[in-house]
Amino acid sequence: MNEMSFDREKRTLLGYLALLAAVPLPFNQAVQWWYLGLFAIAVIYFIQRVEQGLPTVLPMWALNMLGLIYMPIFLSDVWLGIRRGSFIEALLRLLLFLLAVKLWALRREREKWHVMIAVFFVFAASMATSSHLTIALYLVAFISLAIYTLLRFAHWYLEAGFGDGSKRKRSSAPAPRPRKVSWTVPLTVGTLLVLMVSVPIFALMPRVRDPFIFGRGVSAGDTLRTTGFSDSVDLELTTSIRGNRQIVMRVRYEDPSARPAELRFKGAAYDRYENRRWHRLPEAGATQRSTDGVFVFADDVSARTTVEIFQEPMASRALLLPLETVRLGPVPLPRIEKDGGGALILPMQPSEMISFEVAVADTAVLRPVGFEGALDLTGITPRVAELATEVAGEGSDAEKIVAIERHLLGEYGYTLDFVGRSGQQPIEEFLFEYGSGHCELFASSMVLMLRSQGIPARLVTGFLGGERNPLEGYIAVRQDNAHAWVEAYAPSTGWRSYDPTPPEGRPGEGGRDLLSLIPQVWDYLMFRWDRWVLSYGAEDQQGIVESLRERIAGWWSDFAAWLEGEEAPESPMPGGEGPELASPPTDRQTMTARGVAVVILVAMAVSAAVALIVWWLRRRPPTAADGYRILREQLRALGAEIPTSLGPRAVENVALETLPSAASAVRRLTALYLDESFADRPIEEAARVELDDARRQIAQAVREELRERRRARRPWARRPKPSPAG
Amino acid sequence: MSRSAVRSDGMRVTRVGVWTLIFSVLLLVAATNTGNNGLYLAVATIGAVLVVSHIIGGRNVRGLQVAIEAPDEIYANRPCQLDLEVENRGWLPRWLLLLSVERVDIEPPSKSSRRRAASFLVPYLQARGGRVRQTGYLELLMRRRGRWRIRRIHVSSLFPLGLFYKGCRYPVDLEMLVYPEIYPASELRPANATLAGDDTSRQIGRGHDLLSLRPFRPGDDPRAIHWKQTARIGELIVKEREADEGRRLSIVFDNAVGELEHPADRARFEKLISEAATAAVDHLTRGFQVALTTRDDRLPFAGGRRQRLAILETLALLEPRARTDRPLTPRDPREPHLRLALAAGQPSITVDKTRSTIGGLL
Repeated sequence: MNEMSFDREKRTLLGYLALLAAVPLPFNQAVQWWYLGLFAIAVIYFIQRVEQGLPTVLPMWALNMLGLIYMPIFLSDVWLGIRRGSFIEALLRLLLFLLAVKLWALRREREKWHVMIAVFFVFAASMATSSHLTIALYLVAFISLAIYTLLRFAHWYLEAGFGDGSKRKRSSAPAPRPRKVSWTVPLTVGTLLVLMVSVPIFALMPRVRDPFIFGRGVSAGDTLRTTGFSDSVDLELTTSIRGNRQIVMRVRYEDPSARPAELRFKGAAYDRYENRRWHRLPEAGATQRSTDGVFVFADDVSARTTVEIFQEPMASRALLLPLETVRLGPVPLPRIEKDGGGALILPMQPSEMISFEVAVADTAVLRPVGFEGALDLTGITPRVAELATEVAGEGSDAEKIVAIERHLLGEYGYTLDFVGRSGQQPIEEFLFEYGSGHCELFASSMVLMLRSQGIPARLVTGFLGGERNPLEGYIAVRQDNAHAWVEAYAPSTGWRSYDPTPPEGRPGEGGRDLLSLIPQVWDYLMFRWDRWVLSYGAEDQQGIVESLRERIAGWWSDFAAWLEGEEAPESPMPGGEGPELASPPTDRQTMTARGVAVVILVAMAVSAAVALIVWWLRRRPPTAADGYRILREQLRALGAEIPTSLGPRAVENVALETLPSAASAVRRLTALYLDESFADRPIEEAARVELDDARRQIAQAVREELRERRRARRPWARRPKPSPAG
Repeated sequence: MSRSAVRSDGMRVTRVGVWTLIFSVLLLVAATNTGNNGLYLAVATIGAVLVVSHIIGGRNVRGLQVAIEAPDEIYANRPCQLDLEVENRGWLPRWLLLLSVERVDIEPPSKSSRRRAASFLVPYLQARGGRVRQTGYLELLMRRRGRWRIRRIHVSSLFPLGLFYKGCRYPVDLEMLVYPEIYPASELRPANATLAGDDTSRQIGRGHDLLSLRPFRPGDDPRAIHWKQTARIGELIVKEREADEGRRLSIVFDNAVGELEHPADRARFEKLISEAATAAVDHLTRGFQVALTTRDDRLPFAGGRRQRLAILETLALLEPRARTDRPLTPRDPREPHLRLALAAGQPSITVDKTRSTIGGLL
């Protein structure tokens, strides 16, 4: 039986590799924890026995028994798979079982590769079923261990005498201990190089299908449990999600200076308050998209900048947009519905992150489309109406709105502490008993008070503010930013937003201290991972290629203009106006392009100079031995037979016969060669001149001889005229 | 050695490499079919492993200086060790270098199932500034006498991951003269024949070997006194040395055997040469003066290492000549001589004890 060389070391490494390969599977819910636990126990026990030098090869009967025991488990897995419509778990469990059994049945040298194949499949399964960023850490760890394993296997293979290419049988004598070699450098460098090279390979590999993500959502396989955007909501929205740091959306302004001071994202607008809940009327209408997939919300308002939005999947159909949104898209949606308050509703609840681009104006655009439901008096108690009348006083509707808003802002406090409150009449309790509450109570009270005065108003839920990520430049809107406010109508002002919640109760922009940097960095990584790994597809490849092409073209035109001493040509303006249009290159951009070109040229020149200097320094003056070697080659080229065993004197004789015109040069060269190589007399400066001269003369003679022979082969060629002296 | 003379030996994918490639393709098909970026990531990583392995493996075997030196005496069918020195002239360390001599790089070619004649593993070679030189040896076995030539040393490596064999050929052009095979002397000499020649052939002289001890007589050379025996016995004892000229052997090797077309004839001829070489080496070792006479050359009587090398060199290069009726006679027919020839196709060894026997040879 051909037992393994370096048996113990190989088994140990295979054990660790098998253990590591399966780690992500339960995190991805691909197999259950208890099953991985059983697998880990089997492998760890295997490693322990190997390290203690105990036998680890199970007898054949034990292997058969294990197979028989596993058979019903496998059949039940298959049965469950049929019921669930997925066999992944059954296959993975079978794979882990086979891997563990194979480890315990390792006998021969080649069987270690069977284990490696099984490990490879487990690794592929772990990668395929993962969507979390931490799989990158797993990838790095696994690649490092795999590289180390293969490095050691290659070393042991050679040490065991397999590498000499012979097919001889290995002797039964135990292999020697491998010589100590430090593997830190190849392991570290190899891992880093593999990771670096894998990035362009990943980016360039052909994609023919949309990205498929297993268990997709917030990069962790979950859908956000966000409340407050369904058709009916209670007044516990804020308390349920305030303090939740999960990100709902990321927003990136193309022109950060155009970002409004207050970011409001409209999610839903509610019409009827009944039984402590707000209800939304059926959709008020739909926005039809244009032929190019763009939804326009206001034709007469010009956009100022564009905003890129990445919205995480939520348990809602709400499409969260800035109030200033003029148009949306292009997006692959047939239609988008609108509620009475102008909030947008997607045709279906998204199951994964959606990204889209909107153009925004300076002023709010997403306004209610009508008054239906905005004057619904349901839920208004006499006490509330009385208070409203008292607070609103006399004046226009606009003045009344402001008065009520100011009353709530000034007379009530913000709290999330509702201990002791019955919750039967939350608005009355807020207004008349406790005098404090959260944003929904403020907004709901204001809506009811306005309606009692005959002023159309709606409760709006959405998100206020966000936390700017300093690394990526986007604004991360978290669940913590959920907010409720009011939209009211006055004839003089039209529909406007009002926020009666005191400023201390409104969601902030998040901390800017060092401590808040950690989650920001994590979020940045998660976002990048989600955007550029999980969601990466053919469109991104196309985008990268186009962007690269445009950039190179831009650089080239800038460079060409710079060479000609002209200003850089302005980029052609696509038709139409708006923020999506490419702005002409600024002087700064032109200067940057020139700077880059100059830096590249200087770098190339410096590299060439350094290479030249290094070559010059490493260059050694030709020795007489060099000249002698070249002479032998020249003689061979002339057809003389110069075997290796021919000594210098014999070579000299051949050279004298072949090149009689350079006889003295040949003699000088051979003499110098013999002095240098056999008399231990290095070439002096004067002799070097002599040597160079001899080499030159010999080369000249060789050239002439070759020319003469060529002429001799072409008898029709014109022969040189004989000199008069000749 | 000029750098341009170093030739890349290309790449050979190992079995592990082939399987890795196959699995990468399978994984790529699965990734393309599903659009699963996790699988794409796994494929990209394995692809990167292959690319990096290919590049690093190629770099690992280049930029070396390899030198090889043959030992003074190499005998056929006796393992010899060629001194090997490899030097790292690059800026990066090297790992798992396998230096080998391949059969195709040796002249004359020999039939062998093994691709490599000898190999030496250098697990680690530091970069410039460190221990850049590594010495070792290649153990070779030449099956035949004659002139051999090693054209190049093959440096290959499985580094880093054993997926590819990368190799470079470094020219060395080493010429070696392989002496004929020397048989164990016991095969030729009876075990009890430890002394050469019979007693009558032994004469007092100025040789190196001790003939006898006797009491000192007036007129004896005082340098011949054996001081240890003198001290032990209590009277002056002198050493008598054997005359070298009395221990001579002339080997007559008739290589006019015609063309040896049949391999068996050639083998017999080779065996005869080995026997001549064995006899020469054996006798020279025991202080004989040995002469060699062949159809090509005549080496006069001489002893010592120089004569041994001269005889071995002559025998190593000895080739069959056309048959002739002219007898081959030793330089001095009165001296005892050993005549080796192929008589009727069979090896014939005859001993002429004209003046003395060739003790213990046969």
